[in-house]
Amino acid sequence: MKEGKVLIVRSVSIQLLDKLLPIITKKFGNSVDYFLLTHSHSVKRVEKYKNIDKIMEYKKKGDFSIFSIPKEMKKVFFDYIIIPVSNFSGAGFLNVLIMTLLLRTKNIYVINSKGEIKKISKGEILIKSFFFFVYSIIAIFLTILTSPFIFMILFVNLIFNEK
Amino acid sequence: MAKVSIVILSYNRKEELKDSLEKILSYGLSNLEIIVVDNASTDGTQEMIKNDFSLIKLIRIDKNIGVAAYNIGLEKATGDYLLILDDDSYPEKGTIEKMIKAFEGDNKIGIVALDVRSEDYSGNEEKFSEVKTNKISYMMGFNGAGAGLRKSVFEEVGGYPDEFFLYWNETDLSIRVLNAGYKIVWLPGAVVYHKFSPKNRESERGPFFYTRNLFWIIFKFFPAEKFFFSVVKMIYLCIYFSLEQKTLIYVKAMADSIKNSKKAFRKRMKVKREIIDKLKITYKLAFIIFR
Repeated sequence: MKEGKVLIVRSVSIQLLDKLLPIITKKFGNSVDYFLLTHSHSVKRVEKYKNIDKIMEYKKKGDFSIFSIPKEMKKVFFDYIIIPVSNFSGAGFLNVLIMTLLLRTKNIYVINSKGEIKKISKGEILIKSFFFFVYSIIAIFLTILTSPFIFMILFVNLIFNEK
Repeated sequence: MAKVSIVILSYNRKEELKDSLEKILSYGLSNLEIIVVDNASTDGTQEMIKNDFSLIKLIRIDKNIGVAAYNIGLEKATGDYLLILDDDSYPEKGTIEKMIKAFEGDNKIGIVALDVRSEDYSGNEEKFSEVKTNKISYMMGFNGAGAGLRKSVFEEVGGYPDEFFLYWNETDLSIRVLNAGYKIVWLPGAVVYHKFSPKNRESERGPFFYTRNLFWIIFKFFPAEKFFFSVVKMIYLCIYFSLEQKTLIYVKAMADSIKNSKKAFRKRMKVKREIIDKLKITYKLAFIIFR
């Protein structure tokens, strides 16, 4: 029986995962089980990874969300959760980070596109969530404000474009 | 045996291209044509091809026109099947034969999406895991670093969108191929190695074209009701990520897409609803892959 469970969230392209997976497996070794969470449409494409012991299917389309966590995941205690990100700011990956708050784990790590791994605390994720909330409110307000003008320009360009 | 034309777009990657060409030629394939379209490289790429690979057709472009340069090579190609490669990608031995077999097995296959994998920096291919499956599956898109295109389909639907310059060109072509009634299949095990290099993604060019062209995909192909919600979503994401990442690049890209939207609207076409519904467009990708 293996000593631990590592969950990798497929939050980046398959091509980048090709590069990061050997780095992850080198760090955590062969004595753990590797789980990979991925969207339904890419399940076939990740079957090629021989180091992955179990593929967990995320059945909803779109971004990973706290509202659509697969039930089987909630039952498992993961010793480590690994989230591939573009860089350590976590910009654009907050939904994945927030999702991990609802999973049973004590260790959350992010790995950037260069293959560098860093631990991230639940406190850091909560602070990022606060900024997410503030930016979202501002963005919604500005979207409502600018959209009518944008659609007006688009409508004019659509009507008067020369085919 | 069917003839294959390999079309490679090059831009300032002399060493990577040389390595790829040597590998391809070492396979000793007959009935193979190789065309390199060079987007005005300044690192001696054109001289290298002229001196070291005299049998390879070189098309010189006098300025960098982006992915539109592929179309020039694809038009000149005389093969029944076209293999599109980046200047830093190359097929594994046997991949071209697998691609031909797939095309010949079903004349409704328009594009064969090859199994593009990253090659690590030391060139070690052994780190990749084995493929457990050999079944082909139907796709809605492909990776332009390694894909087969039936020449007759190219002649029917055209190549990459000239106005895009970079990014989302594969999705644009995929939509037109699918809309014309052809299939895109993914061929696991038909491997193309790509020398994935994150350093190229740090410039402002990446997020600009990625964001702008996603707007244009919506402008060109989305039906009215989906058009509205997708544009609103993109406006929101551009503003949100500009705040989060403290950059104006997304707002600039959005402004450019709107200002020049006529370029996209001129090519607007009716697309079968099921194609748009099945498309896997991850809107957020434009805002995260370069950061």
